[in-house]
Amino acid sequence: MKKYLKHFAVLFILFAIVLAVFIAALIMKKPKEEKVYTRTNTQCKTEERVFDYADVLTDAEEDALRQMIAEKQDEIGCDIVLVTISDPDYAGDNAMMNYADDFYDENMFGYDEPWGDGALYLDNFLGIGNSYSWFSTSGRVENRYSSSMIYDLIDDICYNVNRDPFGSYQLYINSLAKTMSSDSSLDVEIPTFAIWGVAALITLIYILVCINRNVGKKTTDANTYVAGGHAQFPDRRDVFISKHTTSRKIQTSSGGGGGGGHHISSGGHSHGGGGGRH
Amino acid sequence: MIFKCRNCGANTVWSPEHDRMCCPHCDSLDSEELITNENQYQCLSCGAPMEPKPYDSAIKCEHCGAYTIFDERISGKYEPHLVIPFKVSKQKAKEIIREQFEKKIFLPSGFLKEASLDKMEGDYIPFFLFDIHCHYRYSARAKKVRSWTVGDTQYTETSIYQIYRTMDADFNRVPTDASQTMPDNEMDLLEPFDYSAMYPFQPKFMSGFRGELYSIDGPTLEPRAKAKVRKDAVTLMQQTISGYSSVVPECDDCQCQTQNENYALLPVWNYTYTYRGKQYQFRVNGETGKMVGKAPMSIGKIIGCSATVFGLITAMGYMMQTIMGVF
Repeated sequence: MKKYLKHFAVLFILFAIVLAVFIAALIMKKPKEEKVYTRTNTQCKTEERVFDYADVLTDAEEDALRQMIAEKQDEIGCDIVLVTISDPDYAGDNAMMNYADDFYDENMFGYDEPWGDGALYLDNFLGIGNSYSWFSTSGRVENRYSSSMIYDLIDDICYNVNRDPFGSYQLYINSLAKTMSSDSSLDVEIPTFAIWGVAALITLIYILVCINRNVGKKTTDANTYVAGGHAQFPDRRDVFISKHTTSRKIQTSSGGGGGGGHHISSGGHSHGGGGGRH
Repeated sequence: MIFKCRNCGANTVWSPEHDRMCCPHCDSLDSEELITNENQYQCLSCGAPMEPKPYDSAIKCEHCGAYTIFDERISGKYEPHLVIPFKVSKQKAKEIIREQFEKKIFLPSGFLKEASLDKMEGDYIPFFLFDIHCHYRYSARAKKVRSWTVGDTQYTETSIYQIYRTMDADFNRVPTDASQTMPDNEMDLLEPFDYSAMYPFQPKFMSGFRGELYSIDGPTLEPRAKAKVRKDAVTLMQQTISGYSSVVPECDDCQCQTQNENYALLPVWNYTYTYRGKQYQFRVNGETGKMVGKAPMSIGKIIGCSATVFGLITAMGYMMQTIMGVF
């Protein structure tokens, strides 16, 4: 028992520290205050938030999305806009970005002020495999969403948007609302499977380290039995024979990554965003 | 033969602590008296019959604990030329095993118990020590490659060399165990022995220990000794060739010639531990204290310790999850 306790002393100490912090956290825990937002942008040109120009949604679905957006907007204090089109003129990331940003700017969306807090999701339906998506962010949403978060959201929506646009747009609204209602400092969330996975991995490493049962390594070397401790080399020559030189041009490649990040729209307003295909 | 104390008549043994003969009964030093008997297979101390195995040259009497050395198994063609006496005592060997294994958490509880370790036996293991001369001729074509860049052009310069080497080396007393019962790899790992403490054979060094005569003769072992030498010679040769990006051998001729061979007894402590019907062997070099062996594992302890680690890490993970949700 003594050996067992000594063996796990470091782990037990670590556990005690985490336990102490855990207890302290529980004592300090305060009930979350519900933030109440009041719309202050009075210059927005439209009350509409769902613009289904591609006609991929039924009227009932559009109404359901409108109702959902209306609720979520006041919860998170951000405008949530959805636009679907079917226009080959906007095939391509740049065209989609310009369309989305201009649409947002021209309608003066923004929950707190024109061109303020809000997001717009644009889908351009041009057939499976040829359709484009763009997620445009502004104000607090722009600050909150990193490039990876934008692409994660687009991936999630694009996954099923051709088969179930209504479900995918519900996902967009919920996901946006969830992200904006959570504090950015809580962004690092430990998933339960990760806890089990890390514990299993550490246990496996621990077993592999402790299971080493062999004792005794080779302690002789090549000189151990050589008389005088070293061999004699009566002939030891490295004779230079020839030399030749070759040359080659170094190919330089140009280009780089695309998409995402912050930019200024044609209207002069800052937007973030990223696009994808489905 | 047996060595008896002139003062008390008990069996005197070789004492690694004192580095001389000692009577464990009356603590007299160098009080030994050699007793021989016509009847080899009878204990010269208590008269009990003895049944040595075919390759035993000295054994302990099961009745009185005295050590008898069998004359005909250490004479004639079985007479060792050399011997390294035990320098590590049984107590020291036990301490070495304890030090090596006390931190191994998966060991069965009984492994390091005094009662188990007390079964350890000191054995003189038969070895043949070969003196081998090695003449090694080597030549190769080698390349050195150097690259540099100027502007957008990369230049590569390749230099060709012809390597010539001749090596002469005398490998002295290369040990090769001559026991069929001892695994070669474990005996190799027990090396090196310190030959400065090697003496011409004297039977008194065997008193107090089990002895074994060779069961593999010199000519049979010679190829193994030469293989060991050849391997070392290749290493020595390769150590002289460096700085090349590629080496293609053209001549690689290593000739090994045996100059001499000696039959020697080298000291080894053997500890056998039986766990779940399987025997685990541990050897301690009786001269240097170097240890070789593979420890048994308790399945119960593996499960218990792994569950502890997994449980604590998982619990910490969940607590961290909660903590991050609060701050």
